[in-house]
Amino acid sequence: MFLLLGMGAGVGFLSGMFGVGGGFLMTPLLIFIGVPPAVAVASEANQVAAASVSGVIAHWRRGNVDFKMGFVMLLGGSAGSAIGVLLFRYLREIGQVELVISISYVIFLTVVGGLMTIESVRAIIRNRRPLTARRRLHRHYWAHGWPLRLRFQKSKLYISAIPPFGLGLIVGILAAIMGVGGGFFLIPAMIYLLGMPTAIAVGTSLFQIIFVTSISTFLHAMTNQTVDVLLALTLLAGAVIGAQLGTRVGAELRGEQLRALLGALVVVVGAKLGVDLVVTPDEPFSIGPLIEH
Amino acid sequence: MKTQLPLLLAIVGIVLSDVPLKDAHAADQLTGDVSSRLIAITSNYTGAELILFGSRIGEGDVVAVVRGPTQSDVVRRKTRFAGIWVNTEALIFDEVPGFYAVAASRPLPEIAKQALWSQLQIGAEYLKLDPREDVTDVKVYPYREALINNKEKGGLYLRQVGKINFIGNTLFRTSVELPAYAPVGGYFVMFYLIEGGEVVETRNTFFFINKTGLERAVFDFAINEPAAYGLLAVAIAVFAGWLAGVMFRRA
Repeated sequence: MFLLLGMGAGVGFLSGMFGVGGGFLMTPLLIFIGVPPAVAVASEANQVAAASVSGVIAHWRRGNVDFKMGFVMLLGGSAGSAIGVLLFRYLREIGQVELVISISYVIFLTVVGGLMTIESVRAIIRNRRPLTARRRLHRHYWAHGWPLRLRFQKSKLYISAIPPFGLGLIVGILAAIMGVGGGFFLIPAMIYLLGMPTAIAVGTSLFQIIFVTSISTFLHAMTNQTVDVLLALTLLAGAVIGAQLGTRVGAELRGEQLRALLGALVVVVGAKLGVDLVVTPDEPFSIGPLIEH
Repeated sequence: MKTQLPLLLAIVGIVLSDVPLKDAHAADQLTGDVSSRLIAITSNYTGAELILFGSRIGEGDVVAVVRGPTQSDVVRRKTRFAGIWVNTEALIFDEVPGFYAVAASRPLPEIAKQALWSQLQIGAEYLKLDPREDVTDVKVYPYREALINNKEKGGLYLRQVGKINFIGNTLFRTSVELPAYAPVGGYFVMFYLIEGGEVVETRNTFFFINKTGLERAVFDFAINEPAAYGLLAVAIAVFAGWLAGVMFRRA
């Protein structure tokens, strides 16, 4: 109980400090302390839903939520989370869910952590030199010309609905299988692939994460019965307190250094999971309850 | 959790029909019971100690067996595949007792021959655990051992035979540690009076481990009303998140 509160506080501290959801750190941590992966993923989805609600309130007030964009992504997200939960159930039946969760985390944590570290180290180096080039204000990306074009006023975009729908779909599957909101993947994609303004991307991704993780929670409860509300609430209680402290500490530190630190941390968690996959296990046998149709 | 009384009665029937009674008329030499009929799991539950006690007339030995509710377990084996360890093979074991413990007044080999223990499934090594698939014993063995070891690690199976102590000439008692993760459901307790290497008399009783209070309510709700539970989980999360957001803004 206190361990869980502490973990909630620790990850909440980091998420407040770095401005990320923290699901991608919490789920592996829960698995490390021995929570069955299926329960960890489903309950963490529940906790992320709660955390996103509290996050979106602030963004809503500042007008940083593009509801039209959020809705299009949500359509994809709903479909994705349904696909993810069914896939999850199938993987549990054939006994491979732990493996798929681990591999997904190794890939995502290593790639995202690596990119963050590289990007922030570059930024630190760049800051030591005078500014040379300016970014263009408006870019056109490859996916902007696809059919089904919609006008997204808040994001100042007139683009095809297919890329946001596709992003939603991917994040929905991620939410269901990995128990994450997917902000760490979604926000960069919205900024660099869709060309959305950063503040709007953050607010809108939170908005759509609420729904996607809620749907995942509901579907996990329906098909797998692996949602532990008490676990989610305990984590949330810790996370709320931790996030407060984290935000204050974060405000005192430099952005690039923060990101470099977070990137390194993410890589370490990913590496630990990766090593566990490769190293000969002490016990090649594992026992689980039988799941039948 | 529905009561498992019909199941328990079925087990009693099976076990009784297997027991070779030396003298069917020599009844009432043995009595036995447990200290608690219902063990309630509450929020501070960390396991329980159950006392088994009774009396016997004469000089026979007493052996007690406790079995928890049965379930089907899958035992999976990891092998290296493309550099990483993957579950590749699995055997399904049906009717695996969720708890298993034996206590005896003397070491088992001194009380009777191995054939009797094997017949009565007394001792983890004689527990009937057969895979659903029809495979050779050689293949089953490591899976079976892994299953028993896994249960033993969790305190669910006790390979070590517990000690039944006599108080005076007739009264006996022993205690059984029920770990925090002992499965919920009906438990079956069997007492054997053994004399000259044969079973003279048997007595059986049962007890339940059940979740009570909030844990019970949450557990039942999640299993019986998954849709409502899912909706409630979401509602609680949204409310808690909103509350946290409001508190955050004030701070």
